[in-house]
Amino acid sequence: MMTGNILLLLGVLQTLPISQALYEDQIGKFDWHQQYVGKITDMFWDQSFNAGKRVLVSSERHVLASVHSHNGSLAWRKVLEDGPRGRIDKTLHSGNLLVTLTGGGRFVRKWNAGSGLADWEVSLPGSKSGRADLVQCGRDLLAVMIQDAVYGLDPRSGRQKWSVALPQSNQVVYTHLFTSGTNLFVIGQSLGQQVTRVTVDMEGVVRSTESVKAPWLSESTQCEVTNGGVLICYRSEDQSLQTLTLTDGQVFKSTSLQILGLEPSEEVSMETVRKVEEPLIFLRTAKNHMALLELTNDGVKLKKDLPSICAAQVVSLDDKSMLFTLERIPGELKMKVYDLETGSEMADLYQTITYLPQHGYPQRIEVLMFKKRDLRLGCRFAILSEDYSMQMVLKAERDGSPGKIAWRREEALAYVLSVEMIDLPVSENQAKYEDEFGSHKDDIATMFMKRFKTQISQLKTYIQQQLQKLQGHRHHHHDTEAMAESGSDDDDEDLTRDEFNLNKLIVLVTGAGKVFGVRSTNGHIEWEHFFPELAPFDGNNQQKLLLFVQRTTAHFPNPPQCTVVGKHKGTGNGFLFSFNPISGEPVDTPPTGQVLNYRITQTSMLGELDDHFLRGILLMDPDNQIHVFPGKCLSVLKKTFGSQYMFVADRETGFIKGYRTVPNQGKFLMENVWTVNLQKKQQTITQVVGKRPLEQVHSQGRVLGDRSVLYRYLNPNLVVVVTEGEFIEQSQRGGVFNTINLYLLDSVTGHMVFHCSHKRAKGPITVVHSENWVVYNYFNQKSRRLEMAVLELYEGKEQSNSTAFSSFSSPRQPLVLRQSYIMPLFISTMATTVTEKGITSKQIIFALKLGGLLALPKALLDPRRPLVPTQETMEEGTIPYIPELPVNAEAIINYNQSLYNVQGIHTSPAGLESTSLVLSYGLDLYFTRVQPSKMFDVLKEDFDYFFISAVLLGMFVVTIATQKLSARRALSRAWK
Amino acid sequence: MSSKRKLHKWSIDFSGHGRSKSDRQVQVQDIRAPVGYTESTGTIVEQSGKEADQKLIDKRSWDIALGPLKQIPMNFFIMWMAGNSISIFPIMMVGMMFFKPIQAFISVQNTFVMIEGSQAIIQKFIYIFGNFVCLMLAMYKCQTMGLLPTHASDWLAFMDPQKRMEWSGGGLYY
Repeated sequence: MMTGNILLLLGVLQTLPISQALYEDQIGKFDWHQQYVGKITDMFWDQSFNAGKRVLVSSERHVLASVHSHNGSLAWRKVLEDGPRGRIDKTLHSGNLLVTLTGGGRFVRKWNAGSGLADWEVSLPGSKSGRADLVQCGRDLLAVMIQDAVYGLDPRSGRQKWSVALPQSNQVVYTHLFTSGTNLFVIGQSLGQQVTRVTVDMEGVVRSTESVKAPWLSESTQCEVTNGGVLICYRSEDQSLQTLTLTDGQVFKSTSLQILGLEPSEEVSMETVRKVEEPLIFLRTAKNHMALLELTNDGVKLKKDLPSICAAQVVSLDDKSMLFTLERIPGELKMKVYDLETGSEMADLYQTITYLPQHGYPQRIEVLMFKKRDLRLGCRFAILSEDYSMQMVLKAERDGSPGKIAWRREEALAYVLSVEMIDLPVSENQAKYEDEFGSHKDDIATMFMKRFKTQISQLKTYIQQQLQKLQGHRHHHHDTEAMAESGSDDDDEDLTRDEFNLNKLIVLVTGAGKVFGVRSTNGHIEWEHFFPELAPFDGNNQQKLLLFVQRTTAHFPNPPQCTVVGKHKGTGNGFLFSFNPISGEPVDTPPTGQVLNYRITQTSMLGELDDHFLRGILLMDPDNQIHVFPGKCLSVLKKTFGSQYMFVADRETGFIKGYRTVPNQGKFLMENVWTVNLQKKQQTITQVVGKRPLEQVHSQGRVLGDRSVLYRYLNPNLVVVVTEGEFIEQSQRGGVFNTINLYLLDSVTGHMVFHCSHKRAKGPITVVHSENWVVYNYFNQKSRRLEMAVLELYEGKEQSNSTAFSSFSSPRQPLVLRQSYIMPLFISTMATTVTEKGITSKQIIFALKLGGLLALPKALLDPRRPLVPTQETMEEGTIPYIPELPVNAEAIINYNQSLYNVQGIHTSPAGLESTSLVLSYGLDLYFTRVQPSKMFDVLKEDFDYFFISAVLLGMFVVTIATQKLSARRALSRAWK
Repeated sequence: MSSKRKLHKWSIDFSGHGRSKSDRQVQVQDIRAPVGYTESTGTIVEQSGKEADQKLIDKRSWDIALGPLKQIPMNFFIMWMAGNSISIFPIMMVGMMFFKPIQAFISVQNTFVMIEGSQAIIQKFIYIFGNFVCLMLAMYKCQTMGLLPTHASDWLAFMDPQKRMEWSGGGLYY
């Protein structure tokens, strides 16, 4: 019986379109992959064998990478562990040595800078406070400080030479490690009390432990240790700098910023100078104001005030120290270089660089100095900007024309929060046709002329296309080479819709405050906007920036429109930016974005379009007043406010409140109509997942084996509320276990449609909510494995109302079917495919932690899968139930292109019903297309046109010939 | 042409095909009747022939009228043989089963001309009834094969999506 079942299952599985593997020559044909490193925190010019050819970077996204300096591509990239274990505390690079300290002092790894391979790894106990430091002392010692000890390691093998426990490690937070001469200094801080200085010699013996009174130490105090062994702390309370010489200092010396002649501000920060021996430090008081300070025994001296300078670095070459400064002027960067000793400007190194305003202020500069063959000084440098971009200047200004950015890496794309794919506009010709149908005022003659003109231009473009095709084949090779050289700035073809509307413009909104328009064909950036003041909503431990499509491309001649909703960095008020997604031009809002005068607590979209097919956005403020953006859509709300509802779930209180819209003196208010209390004491709301607002569902029901219909419960207002909590087990073993609750709530009436609970189950939970089903995953603590569960809702065999769905008259208790399965691999997120009309069967795409994107048909996650297959279930086409979900290598849609830290998957319909477009974002961007029911609406690429047309033609010829022959035969027979 | 000439060379025409009509007439009249042959067989024969004709006509009309009904057992057998699976041969058979009675209905005028005699009305009725039964049988076959759109599931694809009456949005407090 069992083997029979399995055979049956195998048979059914073979008929399912699980596999959609590619042929080798299809790689990269309709998919692309972009690798990023994230916001760069440390940057070094590679000093090992390929000196000057590569830049080593480490980022806050736990990435260590080496970037080719000639084109910005990655030589290698190491993505370290997720979570606090992988955080890079310190990166150290000098000579051939590249060492990282990660996870709060848990791992020390030495890397081969050329290949990116790890030479050795040492595991240390790690630091409770998360503070750890690493320094190199001479050639044979690496010192690592964690909270309670200092370790001496051999840089060649990683062998531990010695370790020394730090005194009073439970009271003092050790923050800095510094080496000077033959001693190591460990600096510890006790807030409000003192600074502890522990001196350790190179053999690992504690020489002395001293305390220096520092009653002013607070959480906001920033401390740095400069070269030459001076500890400098900045107090934001009274804007003063406190300095202490590490070797012999006994008291802190205080210097006020005012005395130095510097304007104190909110955002003062310090940047250490490492490349020279003198005790120098940069003080930044604003985005474009820095100062170079010199620390002496008497306190702080202003070495050079650098007004309107946004990035600076001190570099030394042949015992000569130089100060590089960058100043941003509109459209350009001015780089001035000063000799540090004399303070005079070195005019031969002065240059200007073309710089686009959408990168914000440069924040860091990393200069590589070298001597040219004619012994003149030359330099190349990398710039890190406010928008997380990294740019490289290789060639200096020549003959008056400003220096050029050789390449740039848009690392903001590793922080994508919202995605939409927008249809491209129709071509000029088609637009003309639409124009013809659009206007009714023209008389016959002008209409005829219009039609004639359009058709002429159509013929012209057709001929041009054919010519291009002929030439294209010839020059194809050159084109690809040229493209590789010029990078992403090459001129792509026009943004017009293709035959099947497969190519889109992808709008990406990133946490860096940057909005991108990216072509779906090749991933090239079409336009970009940077808003330094735009910040994501960051309540509930998750960052959120909203992107609304207010008008699609379908309403020619009205242009499409999208709006980004976030919050203003300074005030926390609402921040809006509305734009045309194709051209990137701002619409309705100023180009720098619009700051509202209220906070946004919740947003929604209007149900109806206005006269120009624009869908308004509803913004709710803390006083429950509703605002409409743009203001011209207020008339729509005036008409339809009776059917406009809203709900807000509060994680802090555990309440979910439902509101209806009420007019009040020309304004609209939200009136609380229902409240659901989810008992904050026992559980917290972690997720609220609704359906896509404009989801297309083709089939109203499901055909059963006996040919009756099980009608779906398609409530568009249904939301899934996930809560996670803990419970104490009552059995003799006891212990605390996690529990998960799922509530299916009608967001208009507050009616609890369904509730289920998983005991001994733990998040993180991903929920996919579409049509009449919900798929979610959880970690089963009892069996210690990942499980998938599916809920499907049905009205039953009768449909209560076939024409309209109202939450007020919907069936109270729909039929809920559920089943769960074992997922053999861990996943980071999942999504379902979406198609144009919703006819194609669905697939669920899982982002595996292993780096793959696994596409499984929804039929495998179907609660009607029978335990024992019968004739009827076979008729229905359900697969017999087997707990494990199959993971098939051919179902991995990104083949061997591993994706790291996938944050989300966005799917979007293409013009072809069979096709769905998939973009996975996270550290990498990966775009591809899937056909869940195979490509049923287009002939396959390998379709044998020649054979079929030859056969058809042959048949035609044979028919005519035989007709002729038979006629002759009949004639001759008649003659007999 | 040459073959024709050859054919002429080797063929002897016994029927007098080539001769004129009047020649043949004359010849037939000239030949005396063979021995024992009487030209007229008398009135009795005439009378009995007429009755037999009537019977034959009735019989033939009944044959025509009952024809469709006689096919029914055969149709049943074919139905049983064809089975309920949907593949090319059963579909062809069902097609034939439909095709025959429909063809009969189309050419019903010609058939009725052939049906003569006193019971013609009943016979016509039975003929139509028989064809109708055949048609029903074909319908039944379609029904058992599941080809008739009689279930709600057959019309599911034509159902429009439900219109949304209320709009709601929201989520976690920002």
